[in-house]
Amino acid sequence: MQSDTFAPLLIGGLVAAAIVAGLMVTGGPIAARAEKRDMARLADLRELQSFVACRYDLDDAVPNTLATDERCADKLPMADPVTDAPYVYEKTSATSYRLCARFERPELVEDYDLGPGQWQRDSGCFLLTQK
Amino acid sequence: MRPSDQLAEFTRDALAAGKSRDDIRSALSRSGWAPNEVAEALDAWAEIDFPTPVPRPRPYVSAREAFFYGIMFVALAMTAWHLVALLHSLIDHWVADPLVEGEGRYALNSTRWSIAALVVFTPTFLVLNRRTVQATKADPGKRRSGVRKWFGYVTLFLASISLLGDLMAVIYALLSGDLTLRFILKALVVAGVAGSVFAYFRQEEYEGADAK
Repeated sequence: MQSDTFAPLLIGGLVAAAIVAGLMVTGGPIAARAEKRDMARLADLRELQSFVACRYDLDDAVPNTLATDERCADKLPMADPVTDAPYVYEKTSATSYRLCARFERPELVEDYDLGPGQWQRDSGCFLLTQK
Repeated sequence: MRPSDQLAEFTRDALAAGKSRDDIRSALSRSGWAPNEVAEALDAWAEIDFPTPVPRPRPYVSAREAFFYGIMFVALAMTAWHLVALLHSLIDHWVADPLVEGEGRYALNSTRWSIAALVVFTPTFLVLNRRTVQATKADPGKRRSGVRKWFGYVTLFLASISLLGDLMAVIYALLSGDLTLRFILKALVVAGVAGSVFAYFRQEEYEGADAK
């Protein structure tokens, strides 16, 4: 084969293979959209987390339920913006609680996505402790 | 004196000596000048009756050529750069280093940029390169285009800078405790892409010299 047809074929083949592999790793547009929805869920959980932290500062204990409290926040995101499934809040002790949501790509969620939380991939929950 | 200056001077002298355009054309063709170069040299002088050759106004460089080769070589540089970046992300993803924490979504985003760059610039480069190869086959004089040489070397410069930077990053990783399979694979990727780019340009140069 001549070099001026071989080299472009080689480049094209290598680049195409790299693109396919890259798409397999990052996920296509659909998976990326799911990732965006997960980002929105994380933003909601962060809001809930700061609400709980605010209540803890005022009452010296995490609240029993996530009822709106005008001292800390006017409005809380109580449910998933896409599926409308309510976020799960569970008090586990006076200083610790769990916040859960149903993520579509839980493999991409990390501990540091919710401050000092501990991410549990199987249940879709963060374990949080107030100090 | 540059070859093109010699050609212009010869043409002027020959016209001043009263040689016909056909004679000049055949003398230049027999000396190895390409048809478009001969035509250009003769077109530089107006065909009017005057004791000395009268120059025609000439554009300084061909804007069309500059556009064409500019896009082609930028596409080559972008392809080389982002191919290295994408392969490095893939190596990071597949060859886990137990001591390094994953970069999570941040790594995904840079991978997506590389994919987008390759989707745009690789086909652009391949199409333009194909057209260049066909054009130079039909007319070997095109290889002597000054515009092409300049853009070629500017690209070679940019590609060298980017690949040297990659090499630097890889060596930094080596020195800061990353002597792993990852490091070796990444170094191989940089060497492979750099080698291909330089081989491409050497072939260009070689064929350019061949066409002289």
